[in-house]
Amino acid sequence: MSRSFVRHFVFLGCMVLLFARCEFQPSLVFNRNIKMPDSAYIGMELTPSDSIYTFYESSSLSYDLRTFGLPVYSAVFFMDQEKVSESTDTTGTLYFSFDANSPGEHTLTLVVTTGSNSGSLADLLHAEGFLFTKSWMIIYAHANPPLPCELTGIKDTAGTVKISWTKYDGVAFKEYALLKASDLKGNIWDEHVIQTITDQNVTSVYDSTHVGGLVYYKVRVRNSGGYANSGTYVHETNKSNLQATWISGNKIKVSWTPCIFYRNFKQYTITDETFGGDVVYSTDTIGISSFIYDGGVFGGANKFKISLEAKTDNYIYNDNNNSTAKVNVGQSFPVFKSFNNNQINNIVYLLTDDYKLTKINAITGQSFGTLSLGYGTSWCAVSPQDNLIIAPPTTSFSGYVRIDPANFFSPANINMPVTNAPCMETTLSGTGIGMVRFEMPQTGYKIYDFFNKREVFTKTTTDLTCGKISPDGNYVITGFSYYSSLAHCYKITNNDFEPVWIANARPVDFALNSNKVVLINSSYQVELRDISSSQVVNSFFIGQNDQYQDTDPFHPLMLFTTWSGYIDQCKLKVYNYLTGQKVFEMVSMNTGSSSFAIQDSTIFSGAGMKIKIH
Amino acid sequence: MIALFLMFTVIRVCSQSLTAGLNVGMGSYTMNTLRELQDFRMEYAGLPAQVTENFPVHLNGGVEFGLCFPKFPSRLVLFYQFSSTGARVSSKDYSGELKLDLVANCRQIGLGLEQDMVRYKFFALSGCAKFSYLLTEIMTLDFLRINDQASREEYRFTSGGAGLEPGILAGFNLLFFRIGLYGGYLFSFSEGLHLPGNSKAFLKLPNGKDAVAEWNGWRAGVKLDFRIPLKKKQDKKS
Repeated sequence: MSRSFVRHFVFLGCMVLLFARCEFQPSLVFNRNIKMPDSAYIGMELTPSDSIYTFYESSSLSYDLRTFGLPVYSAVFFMDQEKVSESTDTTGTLYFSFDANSPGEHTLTLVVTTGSNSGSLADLLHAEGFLFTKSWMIIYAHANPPLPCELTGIKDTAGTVKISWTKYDGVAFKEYALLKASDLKGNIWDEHVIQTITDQNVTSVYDSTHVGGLVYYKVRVRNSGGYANSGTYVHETNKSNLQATWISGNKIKVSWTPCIFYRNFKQYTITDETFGGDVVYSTDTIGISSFIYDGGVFGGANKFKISLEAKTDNYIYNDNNNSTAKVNVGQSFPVFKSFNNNQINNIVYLLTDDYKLTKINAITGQSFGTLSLGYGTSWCAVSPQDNLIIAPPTTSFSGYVRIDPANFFSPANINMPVTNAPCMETTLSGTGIGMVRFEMPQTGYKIYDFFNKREVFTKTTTDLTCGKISPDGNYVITGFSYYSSLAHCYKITNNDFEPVWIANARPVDFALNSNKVVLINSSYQVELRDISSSQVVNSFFIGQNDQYQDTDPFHPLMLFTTWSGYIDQCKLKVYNYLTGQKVFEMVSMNTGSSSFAIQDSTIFSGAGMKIKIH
Repeated sequence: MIALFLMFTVIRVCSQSLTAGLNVGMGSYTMNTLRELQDFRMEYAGLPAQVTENFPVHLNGGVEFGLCFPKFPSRLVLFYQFSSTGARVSSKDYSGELKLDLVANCRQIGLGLEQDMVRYKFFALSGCAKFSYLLTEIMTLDFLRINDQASREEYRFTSGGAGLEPGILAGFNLLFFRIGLYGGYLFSFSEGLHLPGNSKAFLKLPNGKDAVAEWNGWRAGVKLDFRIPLKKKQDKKS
């Protein structure tokens, strides 16, 4: 029994020992041997840097945390006890609302929580770190409007303008603003800010917008309470002084004073303001001071304007008095309604709207006097030999006016029957004969010698119409009416009108010295036809809208006009009828109902101008 | 009941003696997937830590009850074997401590056969084979302490399996007991670890593999048997 007890006791004891320690129990530990940090430093700065901030309006401060590698878990700002901002950034901006805070002193506190960078488990799990605090005083106060600054100097220098002013020494400064205007009369219609300066210590700037002229400057200082303007200071330099000079024909020289403000100069732009303001010239070369314009308009003042454009702000300097120029293209000449010349000399007789006849040398301009023909005189006829002038009666009781050019101021009357009347289109031949129409008791035509005041012959007929006597006095050409399409030529012979030829064209004038008639057919072809032989000596084509005006008695030149869309504007064209070439062309103004004539290579405008062509 | 009846009949008819024994020894364990699990836990923790223990060789022990026969087999035993190992990922400093522990226990129940191959006086050299059912249980612990604040999470997983362990036993018969040195190798076949109450809730690795307790490995130890002769008692009664 004792052996069995020992046996069982030993067996059970071994089992207890066996199973008591058999389960695996992890016991080893990785000890990292890290030391606990005891202190750290960071920088906490506001910009602008100060310890006391006085705000006169809503403002912003930026903060900058220099953590030297410590991670920022939070950066919290408190205004007094109230949290106003929270971030994890090391830099940022803090906005201070003026309206949301009561006037007076406040305390701004920044609380920054960072990690320890120890590398411990707590640090890695953001459960360990440092706490930093820093405070500033914030004062909210109201500011009064500032006292104005004054300009102390405006100086042209280095291609621009330097403007200086007195420094603003008050509180709550916000900015200086430099204002500029360029009107001459004090009506500051284009006043605008050209620069804004937010540094209180900067009291001078360079006006980079300036390109010259008369300008106003003033400086405006602004603080939180308002703003104040300085007085207005005038600065005047580098006026453009635009000038225009007529050279010849349609050429005009436009010149100006070069700009000295090269820093902002962009370009000159010249516009023709005569009609539409088209840009006729521009250049970005600052040294150029003139150009030749070949678009001059005859008959009045041509207007030009120069603009100095700046590189910045689309600023354009342009003052009324110095940036515009006028020039007349052509020379002045008396106003006339009809231009009556002859083939002997340059003496012409100008009939005006006030029924006066002026004798004048068309080239030299020398006037020989003016004769009043009486109210209602609408035409006159001049002999090609400059030996006779006739004009219609002004009343039914007065006779025709007969004027001897040699005795210009002593006109005489030619009494004719009431039923007799010179054709209004008539011309006088070199011998002084003209065509007269009579109606009662029968209808017919007369050839009348106005020089000798006698009738040459009378022809009773209804087949004729009024016509013009050829310069040599041997032929009558009919069909001068604007709506006519046929020209009839009759030879004056044996007291009769003998038909010679018929042309399918409308006669418009005689070439005085060559005894030729000028016709225009339906194909817009001009024909110079020898009156006696009916041969077309010269012909050339013109434009569809070209209207015949005159033929030069001394040069093979023929003047036409073409009306444009402008009421007071047309284009003058001069053709050489020998070659058919257009030898001159330019625009004319003030031509609403004006007559034009050409003599001795000079164009005359009834509006009172003349111009010599090439 | 039938098995117990048959065993009782065999005992009464064939056996010469009963044995009761116990053993203690050391074992090595493959545990490949559980090592991967520990690596993942360490990586997932995201803290500077190290593997301080990784399924080392550890004590095991067991008990057995059997019968001795004159021929084949020399012994037939019913045994219970307990094995345990584990792993730890840890980190510790002044501010706190991190522990990611895993303890794996294995309980084997099965039959073992011994056949004496060489006998010389009180020494015998025997071949052994053990067939067993394996019940694995692992416990994980996630422990984190920062200063005086701590958190602790534990999970438990189980799995079943089978084992085959061939081995050799060199024994010395002394009086009423036998003491021997044993060496063998366990081949284990386990299913995936799962929650105890839900056999479909497997423990998965991030790569999708099932976590399996691999108990494969060498076994070595000391064995002590107590013999209880049967025929002698029967002779006295007769």
